Amino acid sequence: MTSFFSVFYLAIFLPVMVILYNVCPKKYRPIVLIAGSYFYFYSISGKLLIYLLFSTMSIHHIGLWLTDIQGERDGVLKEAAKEEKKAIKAEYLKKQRRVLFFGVMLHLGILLVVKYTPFFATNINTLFDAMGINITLTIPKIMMPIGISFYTLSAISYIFDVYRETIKADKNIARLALFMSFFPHIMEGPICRYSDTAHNLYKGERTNYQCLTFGLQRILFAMVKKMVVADRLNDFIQEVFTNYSQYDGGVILVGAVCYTIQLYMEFSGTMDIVIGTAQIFNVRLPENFKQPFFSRTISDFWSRWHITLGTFFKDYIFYPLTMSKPLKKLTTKARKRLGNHLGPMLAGAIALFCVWLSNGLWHGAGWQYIFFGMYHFALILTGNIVEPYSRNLLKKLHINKEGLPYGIFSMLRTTCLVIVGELFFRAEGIKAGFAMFKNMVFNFSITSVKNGQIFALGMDKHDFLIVAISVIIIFVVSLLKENNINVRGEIAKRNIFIRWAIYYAIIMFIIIFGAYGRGYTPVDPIYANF
Amino acid sequence: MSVLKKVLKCVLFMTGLVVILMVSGLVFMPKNNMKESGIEDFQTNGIRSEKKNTIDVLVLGDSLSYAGISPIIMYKDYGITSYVCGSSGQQMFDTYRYLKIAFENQKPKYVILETDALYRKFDMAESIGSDVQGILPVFRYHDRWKNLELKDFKGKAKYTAVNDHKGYRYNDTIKGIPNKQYMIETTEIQDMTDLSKNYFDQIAQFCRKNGAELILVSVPSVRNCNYKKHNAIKKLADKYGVEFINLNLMPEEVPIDWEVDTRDKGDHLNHTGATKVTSYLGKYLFENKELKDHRFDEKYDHWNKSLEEYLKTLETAKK
Repeated sequence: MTSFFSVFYLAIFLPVMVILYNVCPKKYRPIVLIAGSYFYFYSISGKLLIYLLFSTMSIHHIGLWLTDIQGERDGVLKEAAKEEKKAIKAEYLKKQRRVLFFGVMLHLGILLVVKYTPFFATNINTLFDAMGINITLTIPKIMMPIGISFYTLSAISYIFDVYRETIKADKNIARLALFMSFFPHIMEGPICRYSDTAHNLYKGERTNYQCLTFGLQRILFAMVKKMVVADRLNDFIQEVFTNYSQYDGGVILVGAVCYTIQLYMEFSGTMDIVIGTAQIFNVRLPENFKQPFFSRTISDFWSRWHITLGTFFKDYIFYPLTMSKPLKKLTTKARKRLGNHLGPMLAGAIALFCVWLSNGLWHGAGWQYIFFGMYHFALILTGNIVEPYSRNLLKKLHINKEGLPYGIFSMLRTTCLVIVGELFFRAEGIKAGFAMFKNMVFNFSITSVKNGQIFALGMDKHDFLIVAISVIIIFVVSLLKENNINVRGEIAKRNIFIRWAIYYAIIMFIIIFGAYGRGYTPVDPIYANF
Repeated sequence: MSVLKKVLKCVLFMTGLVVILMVSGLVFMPKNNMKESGIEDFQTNGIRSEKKNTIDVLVLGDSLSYAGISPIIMYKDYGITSYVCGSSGQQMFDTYRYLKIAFENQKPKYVILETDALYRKFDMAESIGSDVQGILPVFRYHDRWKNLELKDFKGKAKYTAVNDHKGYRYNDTIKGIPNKQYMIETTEIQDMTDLSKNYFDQIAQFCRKNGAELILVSVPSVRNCNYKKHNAIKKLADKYGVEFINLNLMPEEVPIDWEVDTRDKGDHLNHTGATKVTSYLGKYLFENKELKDHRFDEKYDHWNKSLEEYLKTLETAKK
């Protein structure tokens, strides 16, 4: 089983799971889901399942440990005199912080070792080499369990939430096990919060007709995105990003645009199949995308793209940092010197820098990912700094910021900035990224399109045409959603002939235009490797 | 809506879908077996246009089969008519499929299975997928949307393209490696998967039912053959009572010089290697099996034409 789009998953694993789940009595359904999820994880990562089991057991223990401290504190506080309470609270907060630190470091430590050791070792070797030190660290090959970047964040959020007392620690380890391992979200997220999903998952509600049909429809839409668009673009993108030095700027630009499309279609398509699958089990998972290409600014983009990662960073890095004592002090001082606009921005910038460094590193152990993070940090910070000035300028020029023309301009500008970022993100190293960017800007030409060379790089004219048609269809659906029109709901209102005609048309569209079978290499689950 | 009504709706929807898939299969199915018509493995599918009941020996397998056995050389030397239904990376479910395709129009007396296919791994989903593609060809030929013509919507398939090489794929590239002993004797066994064995069982039964003798042949390959595999195949052959000829263990009869007889460093044979294998195999079959020399039989005149074309190819290649 390699991906959610494999024949084994769609034709065997998922139907068997749905049948088993619904045949079993309600109280055994969570067990069916846990067993199926562990089987799914084991089929991909084998014995590395031990990492997931360890994480589950450790957060269970740490959660209860924190609760014990909180319980003890409450007991002591009840008996304590009013003037002692503050000191007691501070003492117990310290204790809790130590446990929190231990829990978070345990998980981050595993992630760092498993994911970043080769990156750090390579860079240390380069540094030693540059300094003329004759020491070479051996670069270990560490097997990484699938989805570790996702479930680690879920685990950390659970520990944090128990510490903050926004949730109570769960005594039921089976519920935690299901929350951590639920097979649809284990590989590429969304990064779930315990408070949103754990209890809902463990309820074991039966599949009903509506959730089955809606879930299946969402899976179909996912297949259009992944199989028709993302997979069809794969060979072309592979060729352009591998042999970029052979092509002019026009080809690089098309490659960068295509990669942005591919990344969106692959990741949002996977989210559709994940959420659709969960829906079949009568479970609602959080959305991870909200029409990101309708964003007017980069920060708006990141509130619509990989939403659960963004909110994780916001809740567990940005806010704690900005609310920390040192940064609060800094804000007060900076406000006096720099004024009310730039003053608070200084502390915000430090927190924002940490968020985007983490974001870049989370995506992968490579300088291009760190650059990607810093690129977006710079864009967002610049946007925040110039915002009042640009507002004034627009006012003077009598341009309505809320109007459609400026809206379209903003969306196109954001999309262009995103495309540049994705170019660096996909490039094979930061040097390659800069070389491609330079080529795209200073060696721009449409000769390859004119002479047809571009159609011999893994995609012919027909392929480009079908990708364009699919993108237009998906754009129209996104436009409707952006205008709060529920497409699935609207289809469901039509009579059976129209409904079935639409379903048959989508199915045949996937079967005929899907890039599967001989001669095609489907794109690997991109985010599963992060 | 009652449960019964919901179930009925689902059944009706699925029936409608199957009908649409079957009808579109008629459109997407290639209407001929030449490369231009979009058929997969056009060399392999050349078997479809061989004259009825004229093939005596059918060869199945992966690329080792079509790189190592040349039916036209066998015909030139012994008058044996054979066809290689081998294809790139052929997995056992495809081997079984091509066996059935070949028997639609032919009644070969002998079926040679090149054994490398036994070691090609696949999962249940792939084999089920292949069966589904057989029933609903739109899944196999969906990519033909790029080249559909009006005749695809009304015409019936008619296979007319004769493959003069009879499934063999000529290649005279030389990319040799030093000669070394790669068949080191051992009692260890490198077993094939249960799925492969299962398909082998189906192939053996099919041959028995259709009166064809199954023969296992391992074409020389440094990269793909070893003694552990030999032991496993021997065990399988003994179990089914079929003959097993491992040409990797017969350097005197098939004197492969790995410095010149391979096109890719010992993975596949090239034309000189294939000539050596075919010469031995042809002689062996002619002397030990009940096969007729068809060279002077008028019914097989088309083979002489293919031989002429084949010789022309050789001459062109030499130039």
